[in-house]
Amino acid sequence: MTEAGFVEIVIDGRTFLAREGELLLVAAREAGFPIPSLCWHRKLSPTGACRLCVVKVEGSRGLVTSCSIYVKAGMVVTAFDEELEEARKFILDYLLSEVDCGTDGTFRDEFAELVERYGLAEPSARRFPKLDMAEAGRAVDSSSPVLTFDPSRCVKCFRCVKACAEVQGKGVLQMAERGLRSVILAGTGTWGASECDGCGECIQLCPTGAIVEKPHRGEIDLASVEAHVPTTCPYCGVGCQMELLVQDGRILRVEGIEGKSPNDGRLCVKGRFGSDFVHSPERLMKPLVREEGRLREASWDEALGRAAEGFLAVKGKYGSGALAGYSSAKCTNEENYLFQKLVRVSFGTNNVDYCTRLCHASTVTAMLKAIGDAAGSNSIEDFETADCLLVIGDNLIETHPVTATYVKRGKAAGSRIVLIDPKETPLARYADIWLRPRLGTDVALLNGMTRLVIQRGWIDRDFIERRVHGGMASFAQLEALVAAYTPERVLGITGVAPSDLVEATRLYATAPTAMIATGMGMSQQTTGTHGVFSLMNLMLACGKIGKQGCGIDPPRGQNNVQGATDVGASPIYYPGYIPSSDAVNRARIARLWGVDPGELSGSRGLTTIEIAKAAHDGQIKGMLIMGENPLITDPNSAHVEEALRSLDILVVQDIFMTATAALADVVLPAASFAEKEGSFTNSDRRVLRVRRAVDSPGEAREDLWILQELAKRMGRPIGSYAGASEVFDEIAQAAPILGGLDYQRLGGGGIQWPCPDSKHPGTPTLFLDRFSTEDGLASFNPVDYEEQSELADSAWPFVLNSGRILYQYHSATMSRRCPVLVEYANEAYVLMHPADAARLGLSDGERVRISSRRSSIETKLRCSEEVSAGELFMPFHFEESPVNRLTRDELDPHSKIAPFKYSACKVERA
Amino acid sequence: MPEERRIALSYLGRVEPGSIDDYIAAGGYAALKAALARQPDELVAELSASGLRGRGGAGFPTGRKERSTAQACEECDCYVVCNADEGEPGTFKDRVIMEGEPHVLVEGMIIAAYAIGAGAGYIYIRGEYSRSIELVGKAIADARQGGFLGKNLLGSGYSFDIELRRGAGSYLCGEELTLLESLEGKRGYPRIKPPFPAEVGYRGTPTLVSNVETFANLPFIAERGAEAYLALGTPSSPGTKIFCLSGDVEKPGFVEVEFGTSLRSLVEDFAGGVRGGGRPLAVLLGGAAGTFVPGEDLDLPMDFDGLRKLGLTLGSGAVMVLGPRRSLSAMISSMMDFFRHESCGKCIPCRVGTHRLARAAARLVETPKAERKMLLGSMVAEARLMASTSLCPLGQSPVLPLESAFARLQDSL
Amino acid sequence: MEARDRLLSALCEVQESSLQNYLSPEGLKELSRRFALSMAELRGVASYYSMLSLRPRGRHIIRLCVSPVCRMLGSVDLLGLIEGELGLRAGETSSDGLFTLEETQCLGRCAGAPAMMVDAQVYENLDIEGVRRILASYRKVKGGTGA
Ligand SMILES: Cc1cc2nc3c(=O)[nH]c(=O)nc-3n(C[C@H](O)[C@H](O)[C@H](O)COP(=O)(O)O)c2cc1C
Ligand code: SF4
Ligand code: SF4
Ligand code: SF4
Ligand code: FES
Ligand code: FES
Repeated sequence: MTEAGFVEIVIDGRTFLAREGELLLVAAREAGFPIPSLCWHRKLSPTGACRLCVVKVEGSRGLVTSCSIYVKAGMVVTAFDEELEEARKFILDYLLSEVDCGTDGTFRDEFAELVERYGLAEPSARRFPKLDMAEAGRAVDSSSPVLTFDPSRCVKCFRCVKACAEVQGKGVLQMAERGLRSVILAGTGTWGASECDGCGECIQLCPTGAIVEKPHRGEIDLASVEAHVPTTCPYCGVGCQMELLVQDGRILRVEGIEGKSPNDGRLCVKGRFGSDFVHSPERLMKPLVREEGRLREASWDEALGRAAEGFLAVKGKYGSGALAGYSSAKCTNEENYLFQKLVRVSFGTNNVDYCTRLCHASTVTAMLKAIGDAAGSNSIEDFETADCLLVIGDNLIETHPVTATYVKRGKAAGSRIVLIDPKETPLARYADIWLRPRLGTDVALLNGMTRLVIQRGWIDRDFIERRVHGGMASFAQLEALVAAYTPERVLGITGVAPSDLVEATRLYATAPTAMIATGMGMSQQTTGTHGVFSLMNLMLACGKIGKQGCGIDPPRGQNNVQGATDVGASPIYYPGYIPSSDAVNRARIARLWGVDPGELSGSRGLTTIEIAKAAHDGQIKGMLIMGENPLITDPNSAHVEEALRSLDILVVQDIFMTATAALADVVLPAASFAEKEGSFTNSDRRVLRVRRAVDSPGEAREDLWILQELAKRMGRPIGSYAGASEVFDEIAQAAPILGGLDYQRLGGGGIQWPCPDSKHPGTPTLFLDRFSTEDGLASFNPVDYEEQSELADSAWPFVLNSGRILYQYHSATMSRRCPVLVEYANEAYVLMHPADAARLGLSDGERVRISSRRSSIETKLRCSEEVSAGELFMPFHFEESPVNRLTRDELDPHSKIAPFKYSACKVERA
Repeated sequence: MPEERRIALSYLGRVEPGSIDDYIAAGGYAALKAALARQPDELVAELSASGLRGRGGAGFPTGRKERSTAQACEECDCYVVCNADEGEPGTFKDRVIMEGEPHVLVEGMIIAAYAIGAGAGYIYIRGEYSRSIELVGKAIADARQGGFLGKNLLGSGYSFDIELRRGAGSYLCGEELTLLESLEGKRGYPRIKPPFPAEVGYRGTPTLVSNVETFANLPFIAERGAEAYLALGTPSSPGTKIFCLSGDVEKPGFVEVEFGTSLRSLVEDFAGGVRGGGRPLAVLLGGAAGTFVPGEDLDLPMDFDGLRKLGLTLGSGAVMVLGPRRSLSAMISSMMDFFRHESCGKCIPCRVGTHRLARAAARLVETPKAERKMLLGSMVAEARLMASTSLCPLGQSPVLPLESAFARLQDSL
Repeated sequence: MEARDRLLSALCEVQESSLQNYLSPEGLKELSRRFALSMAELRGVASYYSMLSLRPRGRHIIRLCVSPVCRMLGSVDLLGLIEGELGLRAGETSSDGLFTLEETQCLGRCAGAPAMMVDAQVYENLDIEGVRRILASYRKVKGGTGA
């Protein structure tokens, strides 16, 4: 007997084992039969267009394409004989009469390679003259910012069409016309004006020079590329694996790494075209110190000295509690780890936090309480395989474009999507049902859904009894609370029709497997924690967690939001989510760090916005900020500015002169993601390697070095490490969830924590046996709907929502320095419903002034039905229209998150 | 002289086309009632026993398709699709049925659907057939009104309905898998075969795809039984066939006769012989994807296997007569133009090959006689390579007429 | 979002509702919204089918069969005749916007070859005189369906 799943087949007289059901082409190639192909690609459904892969199979009539038949026991195949090679040569020769081949060194041409292999490189060897009505006359389309399309090199393999449709789920491309006139079409014929969002999947999969990457085409020469460096994307929390192509010390191209999780070669426009900032001339290249009110260049020695002195002075005068640090979701695990170590050891306080407070703190608070862990419970792949996906307050397609590809592929395969969002996000067109509640009414909506689940008998009693603390008794309290949320009442509060509410609830509750994606729309409210509680109640009542394919993932906005908290950049937690109040752990960590346990503070530190407030109130006097730009990203930024200005010492480590850095006393130029070793942890808890590809510009140094030096100069060193790998080894000791990981293991690809020991394979799905709470059980947390504390009224008639767009990222310090991204979107705007605009006599494209109770800003008006009447939306990326001057810093009492998604405003012509 | 024998066209001329009352009065829908009184699997067995072969061109045993669809769809909903895309040049029999008595098609489809347990059916009619679209649309509506379609039809407990869909101009969409793509609202690209429609058809579900004329034979079989059907035609091709007579004949038109009727009889008796007299240069059987028969070889029995043995095709039943003074090259040229126009362009051999063959055929017309043979020979060679490497039957078709012309009509070039 | 299998019918309907017998950009935009399909997807489908047009056409579409039987029985001559009468080439629209002439493959009217359709109306056994008469009848009832 053979190994399970393997069967014997014969190819060209050789008998060998192949996996049953494997594509014959793949099995044959693995066994060393180089059957040619053009249209087949491992990520795509078989196309059967190029016919080059023909073989003979005993028992089948004629030639069959090996890219469309599967290995069966006893198959007898001829892969190479005179007739087959003749047929292949004939096809290539035919194709040569239609299209051109050959590469200029900027792309790989698989067609040319086959032409060479079949001895057709010399025109004299070809049998067929060029066809006169062929592609030759068709013009090159270079209207897209990211690619050029040359129809005269298109072999019509459909790989681009399928890349866009099947892999990315967009369907922007299609073949048009028929017969010899067939031509790839984007939009109405101009790529740049089509729905293409520039992800570049089609570029990556096109086998010829028909679709070629445009940026740097004049510089790149594949033969001269000195390194292909595998690393992790520095943008959102998906953690895409990508390869940097380095030539002459510059990153000239980025490609997705095929076959590696979490992205299997897919990227979005930011990942593929967003690395140019690394080589920006505006990079900080020298340390700067403030002198007579102005920043001037200084040596590292001087700058670090100034920083250390400043912090020591504050510490001496006001005590450790007057110091604080903003760590960074953009920096590596290793940097965040050393950062919190510095704050805890050298500063002597737990006042360390970062922007997670701004995005998912409420989610984290609610999830920790309800299920004991705040990380995504499932793998990204589950977004494709779950029978139903509930997306709430999450503009997935724009903010997590690659996660969205899984969602869209699932949809194409028949899964159902329930979308809950006041704004019409691009996901709306994929949704089976879209609920559009008024801003800030989620708790009422979700309670209403939970009530329906109970009423219709869709609850999972067995799950509640076994896995929820208090079982059905505790459930009774929830039942009592939600009883008041009748569909009619929900309609009154949210505006969602009862029939839609029922349908959405039914889809989620009755699906065999169901996932939830919850985003900033839920979390960034003063009732954010309650919103997530009510969501968790619904999920637990339906038993849609704690089993394969069921769970909740809050996709993380930044590359390392997950990792930063994992390694302890938190006022509450030490590395590995152990509360700072836990004396035993503190002692253990003190031993690891070689300090006296008494020197480590056991009290809870201040959170991001509390730090800003405390600074404003004069309680915080010195701050170290690593790679964050709170002046743009934090709410009520005028207030933040005052706070930062009032500090005795502000030290900023960054790669650019951000608005925040401009206020600093000391600015330290740091290394970008492409210039250092390290790791990021993505939204599904996958620890992924970051690798050095190029040198830092000027005197910029890695944050790891900076932190060690600073600590040393403060007289409280935090160790000296030969490299990031050593820091990681210490993290593994400090945080049990990462205990089994090291760089060697991570070299083969990301591993999902918890991974407690070196044999543990990692954990794709959390909570299969128990929840991470003390008793291992989840809990219901019934909460009532409360009205927003700031409401629209006659003076402030609009509700302003804010958020992100695909082409820009965070405060745009990186993304706006990438020409491609700028070409797609470089202008701030506010979206307003056309009816509102008409009522106010405003027209599309006009400059408007938007004011809230706090401040006012100007921007451009865009009329769009993406927002409901009475609501506005603004992206927060653009410094010139800083929406966070309008937002409130009134906090969710439970998680201290700020309500970025809800500010009462008025709009007038500027 | 052999007689006409009408089954598919049995109502023709006896009823007002499309009138359900006329149809019922003339005995219509009685077969359906008889069918509904039987168990579906019995019915499938009866249809299989009749030896009915598909009339869309390939002549595949219909019963076998029904059986495999029925088996594949035990667990799920399956579909019945009627292929009314009739685009093969020289063919118009489906139109004659649909414009003559659309109810016979509707009745046949319901019988097939009941036999295999389908829940829904589609009739895909080519967009150019406006009159057929109109009449079939009305027939469906009237049948629904009359309780022959819809929920619990005729009180049988069985539910089935038909939707009409129209094509928009593509010969290739008559190929069954391509037709399904088109039904799904896509470009008319052929799917990779296997799987066959009986396994993975419309919307990924098992689907029975049959031709209009095929369905039109079902009421007869359901009502009179397989025996009665087998008594007609030849053992391997039982029943009758509608032939479409066109070209240089006195009386172009259609005729439904038993299989096995000789080609000579079709040309000379039913079509009234060559227009202006004389012996035809050649007869093209089966349309553009068909084969040429030299004018002197008309004593052929018209049935699927008899012709196949001779390397000829019965195809859809087109019988196109070329008069003695016609140019074979010009005929070939228009056929090659047809393929070029209808190639979907998905696969390289057909995309490039149909174009090159059309070019070569145009040259054939202009080339001095002496060189034609050589040129045709090289066309045949290219068409053979095309045939062996093309994705779908369209690219495999040009070789048929070219080879037959080269083999049998070299001297008439 | 409408089910994709209705797309072909919807394309036909949109074309028929256009005075210029074509799929206008606005019509396509509407379909793109209804079916949640990209512009290229819609144009890709539309451009595949010979009866659908992405370019404005005349009020009446003349479809002359150039398939084997009709061609053998003289349709090529008729094509020349119509081109001359209307002052256009196959595929083009007459300057008065009344006619678009298209070559088509077999119309299933081979027993009445040569054959053509004007809009939904079929004309068989055509000869030069017949074609002239037919064209004239459409010119006379300018704007009528001629049927
Ligand atoms: C290019 C091509 C065109 C075809 N056109 C038609 C057609 O118009 N009508 C038809 O019934 N079958 C057509 N067929 C045959 C169908 O693929 C299929 O065999 C038929 O619909 C099955 O029905 P039947 O078993 O009743 O013949 C065509 C096949 C090919 C390859
Ligand atoms: S770049 Fe991406 S979105 Fe644009 S056409 Fe290519 S695959 Fe589609
Ligand atoms: S553009 Fe490239 S990927 Fe697309 S069909 Fe042409 S050769 Fe294939
Ligand atoms: S053989 Fe011709 S019609 Fe068939 S898939 Fe290939 S190109 Fe298309
Ligand atoms: S690789 Fe199989 S047909 Fe192209
Ligand atoms: S060939 Fe012209 S109608 Fe058939």
